[in-house]
Parts: sequence; structure tokens; C-alpha cells
Amino acid sequence: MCALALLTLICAAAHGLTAPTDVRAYDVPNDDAGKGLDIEWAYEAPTGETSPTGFHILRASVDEGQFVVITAEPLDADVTAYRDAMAAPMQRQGTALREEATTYLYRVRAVYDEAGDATADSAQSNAATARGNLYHTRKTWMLLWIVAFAAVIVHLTRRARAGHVPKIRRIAGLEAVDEAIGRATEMGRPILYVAGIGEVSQVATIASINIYSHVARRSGDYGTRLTTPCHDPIMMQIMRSVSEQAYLDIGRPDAYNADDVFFVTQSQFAFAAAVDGIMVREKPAAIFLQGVFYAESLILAETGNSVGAIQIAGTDKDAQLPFFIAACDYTLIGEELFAASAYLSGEGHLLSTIRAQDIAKATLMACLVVGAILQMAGIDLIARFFEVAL
Amino acid sequence: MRTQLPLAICFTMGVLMLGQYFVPHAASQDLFRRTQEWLQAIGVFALVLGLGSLIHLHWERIRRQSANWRYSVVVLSGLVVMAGVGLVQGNLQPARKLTPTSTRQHEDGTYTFKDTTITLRSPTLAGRTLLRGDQVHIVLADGSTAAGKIGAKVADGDDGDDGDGRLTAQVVRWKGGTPPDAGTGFAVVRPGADLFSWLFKYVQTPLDATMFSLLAFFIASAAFRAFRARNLEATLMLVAACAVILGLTPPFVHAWNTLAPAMPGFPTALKDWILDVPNMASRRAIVLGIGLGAIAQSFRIILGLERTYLGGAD
Repeated sequence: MCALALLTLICAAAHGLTAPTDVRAYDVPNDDAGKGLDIEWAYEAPTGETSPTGFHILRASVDEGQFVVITAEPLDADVTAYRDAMAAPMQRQGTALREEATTYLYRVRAVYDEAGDATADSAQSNAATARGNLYHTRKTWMLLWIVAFAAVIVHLTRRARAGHVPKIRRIAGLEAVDEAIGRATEMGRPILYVAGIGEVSQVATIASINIYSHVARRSGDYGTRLTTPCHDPIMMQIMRSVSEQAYLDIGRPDAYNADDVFFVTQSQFAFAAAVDGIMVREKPAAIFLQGVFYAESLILAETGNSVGAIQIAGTDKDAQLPFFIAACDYTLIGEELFAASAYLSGEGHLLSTIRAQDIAKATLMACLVVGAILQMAGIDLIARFFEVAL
Repeated sequence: MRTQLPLAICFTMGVLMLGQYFVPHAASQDLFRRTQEWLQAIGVFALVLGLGSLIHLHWERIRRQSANWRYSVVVLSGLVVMAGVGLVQGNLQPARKLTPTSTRQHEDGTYTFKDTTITLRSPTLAGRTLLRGDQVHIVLADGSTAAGKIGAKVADGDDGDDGDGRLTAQVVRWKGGTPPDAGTGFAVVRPGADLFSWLFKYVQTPLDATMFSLLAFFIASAAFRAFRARNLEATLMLVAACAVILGLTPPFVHAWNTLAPAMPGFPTALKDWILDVPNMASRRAIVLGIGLGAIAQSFRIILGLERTYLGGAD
């Protein structure tokens, strides 16, 4: 095997052909071994000699030692790197785990004519194995950011518990919650609460549940019926539980009616049709649209508007916000939705997390300004630091 | 206990999932995949409860003949018909017309071809697609049928799994019959799929499309209210909206270019500037706030500061 390689090198040298040098193979970083191996090489043709028309990659497993060409067509002559995805170990059936990886050696073959007769092979590379990595190095800034953010939250929460409760600005949409419930009570009409079509694992849905708890307490206080159609059966169970607890907390367990929180369907537009039907038939005086909404947002909000209800909406889907702003009386824009539970509860340790959020936002804005100035000066330090690698 | 145990589970899983995001190793990916499967499993149990609620609510309305009880009859009828047909036929898979591009004959007399017309997130989405090992009838070009299987006895690496759990192709294998010419196409039909497919295609899909199409009218009515120039902000929005609409209207752009040759393409450039600069800037500000809000909310939940979603008392 070695003799054959030596012979190839001698033949190439005799024909005045230069072989690639410095061939290195290494595991693709920051992956689960599924991206395989990266191969890099150097090539510099001596002055006046023929340049290659391209390169082929040859691979051999350490156990077998037999090099085979793995590139169907020669790579371009100006290429000096190649990713061998086929070196990745196979995925085990039905899991994300992988079989044990094979260790490979590589050569790079410079091709000097179209027929492939005149070639020059490099020396073999180091042995390399595709491995799953334990840490994604290009997510470091995210990790640092999260740790710093968590530290600020913990610090401010402790301060709040010691009596330093931060003040936050008035949010019109949340101030209007009690007004909307009061209006429904005066008119003797029900309140409709729609928690969107998101799953409970989505943060906006959880924020919606927190607002729902407050709405359930108030409606229980005022003795107003609260109708809650649900898109997801898991959500239905949670909403029932939250509602029941809210009525218990205000000392009116008798006012709780499990049938007022009900599952409709998991089909997006069938759900929109059902909720529209409830709006038109029951004519609620107040409608809350809080959570994850997609294309049905405007269908619901416009129907609610047509029945004359006071509407308070909120979502984290920025594409749906303009629809809510156009069709609803009040809209919680993005972060206001997440701040709602803290705002409505008025508890210091929860309000402190909103202060932490503001600090993080100010820091990010400073980074944006400094980064933009540095970028204009040709320094991409901050831009590279925040580079996203998924 | 009723609160402490869920809080402990929430903290443990929250920290675990947060850490998982930074670990690309296959074991970490597998943990994430398994938690997603747990969620699906919980969803199935919850669906039973959801169906119970739906049936109970509408049955009571019918029994008491309360207001609009006839709608409840329609709901329950739809539920019974769709579920009944699905259960009797034993599948939820519509018949699919496929075009083989690389039919291959094997030494044992079987044929295979790769169906690349689908992209599935996971093979565990039972009922959404043909799965490995499913029996199918293959209607060949000459009208004859052959019994086949999905992905049966297919060597690893030929099953279309691109390594990230996403199936990009499935291999259909069958024996006998005349293989169709490339491009002529043939149908792969799971036995008894037709009525359910028909109901889905000709009842549910048009109803969904009807609801979706209402959006066009609602956009017009919402825009009419929102764009009234009541104050400075509303006037600015009206002007910006008009500029964007006109910039997207080919006859207006053409007329502008004809009447004002000194400033060709101005409406399009203005529209692009509005969308790419002020619109994008405000949108990014909102997205930034949403991101930070979501992180803060997540921390409140993981650290147990926020407990309302648990429902129960301490």
C-alpha cells in the first residue's frame, strides 16, 4: 500500500506534476457527528508549471486502508476544502443517536487532464473521526447573555423582596381589563376569553393563562359569566383548573361552571368559525384575545368588533399585531403580554423581572449603537460576537 | 405538595432543556426528541378528555333543546361521521398519485422507487402519511395492481432520512406487474382510503378555505377604520399605506414612469424604503421586546416565581 503511494508520488514527480500538500482532516465542530468530516489542503503550483484542472478526494478507513475516490466529479481547481458528509456515522433507527463512527484517512488527488490520466496524489492526512460535540462554541454569547440575565433577575428579585419594588409604566391595555369586565357586568352579557391556538409549551400561551386567572377572579367577583372555548385539549384542562382555583380564591366555588371552559377543535379555521359563531350568537360585551394567533386573528377581531364588544388583544406574533391594533380597542404589544401577569398581580418580585427586562433591553440597545458605529469604522468585533449559529 | 412537585419538575426540565440547546451531541438531541414525544403522548390522553367535553356539552344542549341546539346536532354528526369512517377504514391517508423517477428492478424480482414528493417532520406522525411497513396497493401503468410495502427491506441509507429526523423520501417496494415508464405515474393507494379522503378533500378543505377567504373582506373593513385620518399618527399611517399600496400596483407604477420620466421607479423605491427602513426598524424593536419578554417569562416559570399556570393552591 505504502509502496503504491510512493510509486504514485515518484511517477507524478517524474511527469513534473505537483501534488497537494498539508492535507488535514478534522471533525466538523459543533455538530452531533452528522455533518461528517472537513478536509483541507494546500496547493501551490511552481511557477511555469501546469495548473491542475481540479481535485478528487480519496478516502480510506483506518481498518481497511484501501483508498477510494469519493467525489463523483473533480472539485474546482481553486477549492482547498471539502466536507465529507458520508463520513458521518449512521443514525440509529427511531432515535437521534448514532452508530459508532469509522476513523478515516484522506488523500487529495490533483487532476491535470480531463481523461484523468495525469494525476498527482498527496500524502495521506491524519486519521479523523466524526464525533458528537458536547458544547456548541458558537452559542457562547447566548449562554453568557442568559447567565447574565438570570443573575440580574435573581438580584432584582431579592431587592424587591427586601422592599425595593420597582415602578413600571402604566399599560393601557391592562388597565382596561377591569373596565371591560365591569362593562360586561353592567350590560348583563358574558365575557369571552380566547387563549389562541398555541400549545401550552409556548410562552405566549402561558402568559395568556396568567391573564386568564386575573380575568376569572374579576368575573367571579362581579358574577359575570366567562366563556372560554379552547383550541387544545391540554389547554382546556389547564384553563379549567386555573378558573376553578380563581373562583375558590375569591370564595365563590359555586360560581365555577366547568362547561364554560370547553374544547372546540384543533383545526385552525374550524376553531375560528366556532368562536365567531359564539360571538355572533352570545354577543359578549368583552372579548379577550390573548396568546398565540395566526391568520385567524383578524377574522376573530373583526367579528368581535362587529358585535360591539370591547376587545383587548395581545400576542407575540408580530405579523398579527397590526390586525389586532386595527380591529381591537386595546392591544398588548409583544412584551406587554409577558409583563401582564406581573403587572396585574402587582407583586414586587414579579415586577422586578420586568425591570431586569428593561436593563437587558438597554444593554442590547447600547450594543446595537456601539456595534453600528464600530461597523462603520470597519471593526466587526461586536457583529462577530453576536453572530448566530444554529 | 400539589404545587411543589410540579415546580420541581418544571425547574429540572427547564434547566435540562436550556442546557440541551447548547449541547449538539446526539444524546442531547435524543433527549429533546423524546421530550417532544412525551408531549405528543400527553396530548393523546388530553384529546380524550377534550372529546369528552365536546360530546358532553353538545349532547346536553340537544337533550335540553337549549338555544341553537341544532348546531350541536351538526357538530356531533360531523364528529361521528369522520371518526366512524376513519375507524372503520383504519387509516387517515389519502390516496396519492406519484410519479416515479427512478424505478429500480432488484435481483429478487422486486421493484422499488423513491417517492420524494413528501417532507415529513417525523415518521411518528401516525395517520398523517404512509409509514414504513404499511401495506399498499400499487396501480400500475397497465391498470393491473400489485401489493407492496413502504420501505420494507430497504437498506439503510436508502430510506430518505437525511440524518436530522426529517424524512425527505420514502421507498415504495413491490413485486410483479409491469413497471411504469418514467413520467407516466401511478397511484399508491392504501386500502380503503377513499371515503375519508373524499370527506377531507371535499368537505373540510373547502370549509377551511371559506373561512380563510373571509380574511380578504375583513382586511378591507379593518383598513377602512384604521386608515381614517383622525390625528397625526393615523394620517401618517394613511399616507404610508397609500404609498405602499400604490408602489405595489403595476398600472400606477407604469403610469408614473410614463408621466414622470425624470423619476422612474419612484413609487417602487418609496414602497421599498418604507418597508425596509421605518417598518423594519419598528418591527425589529417589537421582536427584540418579545424575545426579552419571553426569556423573562421563562425565567419566572423555571425559577418558580410565576405559578398561576399551575392552577392549584400551595
